[in-house]
Amino acid sequence: MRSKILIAIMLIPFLTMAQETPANSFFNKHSGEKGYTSVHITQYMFDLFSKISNEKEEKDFKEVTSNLTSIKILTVDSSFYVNSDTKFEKEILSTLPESIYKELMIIKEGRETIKFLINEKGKRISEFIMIVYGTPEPVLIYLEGDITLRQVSKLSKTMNVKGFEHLDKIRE
Amino acid sequence: MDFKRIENLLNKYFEAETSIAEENELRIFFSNNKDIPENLIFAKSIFKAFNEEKSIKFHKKIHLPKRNIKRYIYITGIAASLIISMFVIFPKMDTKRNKIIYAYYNGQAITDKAIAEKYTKQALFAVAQNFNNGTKNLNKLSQFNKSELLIKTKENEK
Repeated sequence: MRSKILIAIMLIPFLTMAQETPANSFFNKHSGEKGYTSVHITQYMFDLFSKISNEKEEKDFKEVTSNLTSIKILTVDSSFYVNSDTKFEKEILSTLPESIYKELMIIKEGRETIKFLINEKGKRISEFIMIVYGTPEPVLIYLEGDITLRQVSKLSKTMNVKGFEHLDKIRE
Repeated sequence: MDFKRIENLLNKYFEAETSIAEENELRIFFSNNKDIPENLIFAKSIFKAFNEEKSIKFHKKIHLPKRNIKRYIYITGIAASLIISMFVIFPKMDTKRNKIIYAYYNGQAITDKAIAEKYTKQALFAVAQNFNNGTKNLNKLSQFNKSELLIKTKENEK
């Protein structure tokens, strides 16, 4: 009995770590690998965004970022492209099961393909994924948190109009 | 018996000048001889007492506490789990104490706000741009519907 409790206690840290989605494990697998560049933005960044002034135009931006827990970006270096692009494409499409990730939108422009995938939990999106492949620099952008589609489209509208200009205001 | 010699040895003994061999001689003398002159009889009781003390042995069994292996495992288990949980908790505590880690670039912690901000912008901008690219075409579709409606209403007017 004692030993069972003991084992249970020892397993706690592993169980808390084990909550990993396929997209997350894909990111972790290639993070730091040769030919890949990974960026992981933590919640502290979004906490910072939430402290900025409450101007009307920044509202949408804040609304989305306050609900994010992390942004992960994974790119394949163009110098590494020749033999890795098809590999990247195949691997990412096979590691993200259709049962979890629903295709939201697929855009094809020439050889380039952009896929938006979402992992829905109820009405909320817990994972929002954008994959770009068929280009010299394939990209995976992966938003984690508690998002709604309305927020995403709102964000993309404000970003489109203001672009980087709008974001420059964030500086403290 | 050479009582004179024994007497001399005894005197030496009390002065603590006898050798081990001489002491043994005295001991044997007092334990074996029964007719000892009166002036030496006091010494007999001393050597007798020594002999008795020598023969006392400790017969009790000593119970040393056994090492409790189960308990030992239990304690090391708790210690190990504490260490493991420290590794899990500590990186998070560390960020609060020292510098806030805003981002990781290829696994390296970035504490510079501006750099982390740049990455956030790039990521969100890329998503927004591509998202708009997709929805832009939807807008065209709705415009197509409008023109179709116009044609129909004009046809009806005729």
